[in-house]
Amino acid sequence: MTNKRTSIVIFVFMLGLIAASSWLYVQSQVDYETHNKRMELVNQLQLQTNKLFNDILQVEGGGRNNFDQVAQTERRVEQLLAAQEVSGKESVALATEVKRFLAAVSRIKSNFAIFLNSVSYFPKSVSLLRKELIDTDDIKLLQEVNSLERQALRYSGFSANNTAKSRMIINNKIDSLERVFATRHVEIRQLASVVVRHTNVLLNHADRLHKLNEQILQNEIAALAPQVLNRYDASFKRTLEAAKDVKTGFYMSIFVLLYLTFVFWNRQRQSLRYLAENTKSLSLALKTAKQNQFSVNIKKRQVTLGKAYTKALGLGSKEHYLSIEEWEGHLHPDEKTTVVSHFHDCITTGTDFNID
Amino acid sequence: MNRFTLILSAMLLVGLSASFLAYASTARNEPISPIPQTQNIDSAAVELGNKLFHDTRFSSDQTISCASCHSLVSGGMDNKTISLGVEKRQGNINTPTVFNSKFNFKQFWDGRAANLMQQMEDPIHSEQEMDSSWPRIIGIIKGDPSYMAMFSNNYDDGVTIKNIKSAIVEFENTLVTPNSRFDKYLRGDDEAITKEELSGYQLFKSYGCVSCHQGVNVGGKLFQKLGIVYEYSFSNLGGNNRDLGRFNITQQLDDKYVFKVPSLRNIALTAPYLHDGSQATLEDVVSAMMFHQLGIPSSEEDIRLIVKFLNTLTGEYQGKPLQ
Repeated sequence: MTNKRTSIVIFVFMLGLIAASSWLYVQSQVDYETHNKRMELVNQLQLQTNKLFNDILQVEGGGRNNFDQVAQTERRVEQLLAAQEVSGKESVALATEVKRFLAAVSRIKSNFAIFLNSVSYFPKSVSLLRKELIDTDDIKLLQEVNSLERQALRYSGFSANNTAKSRMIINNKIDSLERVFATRHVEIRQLASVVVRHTNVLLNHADRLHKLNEQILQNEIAALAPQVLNRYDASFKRTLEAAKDVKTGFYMSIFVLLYLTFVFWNRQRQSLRYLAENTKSLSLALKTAKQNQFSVNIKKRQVTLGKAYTKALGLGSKEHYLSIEEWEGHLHPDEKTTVVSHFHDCITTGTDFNID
Repeated sequence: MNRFTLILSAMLLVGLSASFLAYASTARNEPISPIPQTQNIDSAAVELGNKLFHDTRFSSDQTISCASCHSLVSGGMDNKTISLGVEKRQGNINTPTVFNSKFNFKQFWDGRAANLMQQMEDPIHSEQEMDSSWPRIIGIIKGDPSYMAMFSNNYDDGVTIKNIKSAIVEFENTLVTPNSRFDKYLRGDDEAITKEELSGYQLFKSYGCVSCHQGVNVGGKLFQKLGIVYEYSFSNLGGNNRDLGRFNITQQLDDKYVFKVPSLRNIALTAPYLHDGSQATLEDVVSAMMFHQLGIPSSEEDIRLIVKFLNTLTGEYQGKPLQ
């Protein structure tokens, strides 16, 4: 029983060791694919926002005549943003900045479309008013309107004069002109009202466009993306270090497992060797003592009579097989009761018995 | 010059001419681009999406499918000012066309959905539309062997919300209307549109309509305020502050009365117009746009010509002209 318990303890210990080794193996694996994927996502996000910046500039610069490419890149950036892992202040800051960038691009599209039309309609409206002023010979007012046109166009052209001060000067001029227009006849008043409205639309959208362009130009994506990459990199290095420790544990557990396997294998091998030696000695002893032997297979309930035994009984020179019941039938009547009783005790309790 | 050289020169000339014609046929550089004539589709998923798109059982009273409001036999919408949902409940906004919606940069008038996958959630759950839920839809699908067979053929993980949406989007991606007469003109066929229609297009460009209505979908690529130069007189602030447009999403003052610029593809078939369906005819809406968006008075003749051009934007669905 002691041997059996020891065997169970050893078996459970080995099983535990195998489980521990497997767990350590799994833990020691580093997910390079996920790491590369998230690094690639940040790189792609930076790349595509650059592309979007370039796309919108191309439209504003006249290199493209519609927003199809811009919209396509916007979608791509949105997809990348949605796939982005947002954890840690760096990636939150990057995501916020990209959203701000996308919102600015969206507003640039709207404002640019209006600005483009205003640049055309403002001079047209001025031209109609100018014609009316020439017809009425209102030269002084004509000069003022021409001056407003020049200033407004220069302002909307994003020149160096595009400052809050120059905008205020234009606003004052508009206010002053409106007071003068109010004193003129209805046709001039109506045309002037259109000019003022188009001037305001032009200037307001020029201002907005200017600010939005500044905003996307000064976006911090290029600064934030490397910070996120650095954070990912640092976190990945920590993972690698941890994996290294776990791997050491794994190798140690494997070593212990191999060592124990060797120890048990060696013990088993020695036992087998002793058994073989004992069997050999026993056979030799039997042969020398000219004694016979038989063996019982309890599971099959079969008795095997050795060759010497069958020869002694005059049953030939081969091994002879018979059931336990048959074997019991062959026992000498004087000994039968005692032998059978000892035999069954031995089978059920495992206690040895000797009969001379 | 021997005969061989002569034949070779002739072949070279023909080849060069063909190349030039091929180049010329795709090289018309306009702010509007034609809808691609071919597309890659997963026909099994499209078939499933088609079935889902037309299934009325998904709505709470089993009367409304996607196709109820987005009719494919006309212009991809129902020509109602405001569509009716389950139990004849009235929504609060004009139904946009589903045709060519894949080309839009956002979905819905206020652009609240980034793509068609996201867009689907609203009509399914809205009490004024299908008033349904995903568990209900999945239950119906799982109780229908024909659906189950189609889902197992298309998706390893069978019936899931993602797969249902994906199949419908696959179908919606096929709802494109190429080969409008204007697209043929853009591809180099000068005879595809009349001189009046071409004049209408020139006016469309010179007036500045094209600043917003441009690209492959003749719109759908940016947001714009309704009432840029002169304020638009909204009939009322419909439910959910409908007329505030994108402001409802961003809460930014600049986004008040801002909407996604609608596509003008098949515009002749999608009356009434604007988000509130307040403009009954193309003439009305063109006139309103010229005044409120561009700040210019327009002549009846110019409007007539622009409308003529807009009529050339009607394309084909499944090889047949839309009507």
